[in-house]
Amino acid sequence: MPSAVFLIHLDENHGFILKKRHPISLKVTEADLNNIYVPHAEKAGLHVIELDDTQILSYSKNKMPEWVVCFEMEADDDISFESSRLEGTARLLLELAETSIDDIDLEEIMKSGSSLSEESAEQKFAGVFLTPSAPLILEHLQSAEISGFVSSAALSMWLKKQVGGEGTNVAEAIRPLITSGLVKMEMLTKTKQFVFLVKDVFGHRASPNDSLKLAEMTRPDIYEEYKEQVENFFGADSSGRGYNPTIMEEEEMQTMIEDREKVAVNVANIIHYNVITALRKGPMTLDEIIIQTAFPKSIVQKALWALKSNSIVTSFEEESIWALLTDPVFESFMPKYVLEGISKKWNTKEADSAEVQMYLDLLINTWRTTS
Amino acid sequence: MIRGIYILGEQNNILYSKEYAKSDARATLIEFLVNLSQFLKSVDIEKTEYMNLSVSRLFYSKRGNFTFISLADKADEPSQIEEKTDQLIDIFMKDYANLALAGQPLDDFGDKVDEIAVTMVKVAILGFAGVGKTTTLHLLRGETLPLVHDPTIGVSIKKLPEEVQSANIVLWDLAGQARFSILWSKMIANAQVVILVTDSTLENVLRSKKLVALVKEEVPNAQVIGIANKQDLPTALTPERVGQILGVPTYELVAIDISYRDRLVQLIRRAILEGKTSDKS
Repeated sequence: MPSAVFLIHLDENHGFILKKRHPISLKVTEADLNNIYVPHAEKAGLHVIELDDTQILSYSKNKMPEWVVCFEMEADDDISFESSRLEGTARLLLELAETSIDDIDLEEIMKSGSSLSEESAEQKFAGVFLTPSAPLILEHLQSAEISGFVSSAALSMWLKKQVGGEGTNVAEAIRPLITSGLVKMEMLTKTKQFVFLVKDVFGHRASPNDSLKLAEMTRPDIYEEYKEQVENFFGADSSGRGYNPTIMEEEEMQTMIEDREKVAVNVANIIHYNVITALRKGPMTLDEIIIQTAFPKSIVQKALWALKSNSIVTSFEEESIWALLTDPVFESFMPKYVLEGISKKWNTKEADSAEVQMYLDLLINTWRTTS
Repeated sequence: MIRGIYILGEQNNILYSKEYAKSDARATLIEFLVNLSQFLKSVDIEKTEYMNLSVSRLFYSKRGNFTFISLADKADEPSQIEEKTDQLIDIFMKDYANLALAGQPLDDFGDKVDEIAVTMVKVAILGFAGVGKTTTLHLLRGETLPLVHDPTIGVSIKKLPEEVQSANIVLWDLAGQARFSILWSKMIANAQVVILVTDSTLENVLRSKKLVALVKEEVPNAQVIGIANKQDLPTALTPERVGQILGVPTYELVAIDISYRDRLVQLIRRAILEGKTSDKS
């Protein structure tokens, strides 16, 4: 168990600032801050350094290079044993530092052992819809004209035309698609690089059927009201409904795309996502959600309010019970629709056999492994 | 420090804005400010208030048809920022409100904003190991030199004892050893002035050209002061020659000689003034 925990922020005007510390009596010198920070400037992740007779376990992530979470370890702590648990706690602290640093209660978090797991596949899929370029590229790869594969050079030219910028970086724009495993970038020859769509993704609000079933069994007191709220949301005459594939209408496409972005933001937010995951197990009280997520009360409460305003959760009995109103789902599927296009491209000599062979191999390997 | 000043009009349009630090999320911030201004129309606020916004603090006030917003660091003392925001409001309402209402340019309002808002100037001291950066820092602070050379680790941040052009000068002395080179681009971010120290040897000056390129890349708007240090050594290149090689205005220095202190402070003062002039143009 660490004897102290602190958060360092490198401010470009004020230098190193100890944003949070526990215990409050903790003192860290400028030299210590430098010694802790330097390895993180080289490589984000977990580092252990010796400061005088004390071992410091520190964690940073690429997305927030100016922040480092540090744990001062006790002499008898087994760092290799503690590191994975503390990495999860550090992940949570960084997430909170980004969203609501004032809510961080280090003592409470350390006592409860709160932590965050790594990003799930679902979150990585949601991450695709957080930038404007990645969904644009995805849509391009899905089109009949492209049929799932295109040279990097052609894609780069197309993207520049779309966004009208010389500084467009296709590698940067495509990164969320690669990280989520939807797209692969492969060298066909020494000079020819191709982009292949190996998975497609479907993001939508699903009806929380499992949660409803559980409510019927475990919370009969709210079941009828819960069922009615869900039916109203997904009902044909409801103006408040979100992106529901079962009732898709042409003229609502824009609203649905906007709603998908809104849902993606919530799924990509690791705290909101943990609350959603907890509520997939059925309606719960605030205390039950706190136990499930191991997050501090104030953080869970804020997440619930934000999710409620986005029609993802609902509440009953003056917010004493919470449940999913809609279940935000991001799931991948095999883009079978490209097969016809691949065949057409090969027949019309738009693509040569090496390109087609590589694409089919990638599809087979991706889906054989997945199944 | 104040990072940005924004004045919004009756239609929640931005009438005036000035930013003192780069932001990746400017568009989001502006959208938020427009919404905030809209919201403030529906509530009564009698004085400047503030809210926390991520790592910053947003000070807002209403006067007539205008909404005034200052974005500052959380590390700043709120009462000081409130006072500065109030000063800006008074000046604007007295001399510029009518111009703004008539859609006219606000002339020299930017200068007034600078006088009030620029309370801190970041000066980075950059150079390879052993050229005398920390000695230069000690010289600027009027400190006695340590007898033993103790290489800087990472960065050492200290304030200049006196204000220059009504601003506090924060000196960032960056470690020069190769293993710390990864920090340089991060640490010079947002510097208004960069002091590039060389030891006036040909080898070091030629190597230091790389640092000039780094500075131009990372902080293109910063004023660069080349320093030909160790001019007391017989092998030292002249400051003119060092300046020719580096391609930046360069000045002689013997950092261990206290008599150079005032000259160096003057150079910083001039660089700050030149920075303001080039901002305007």
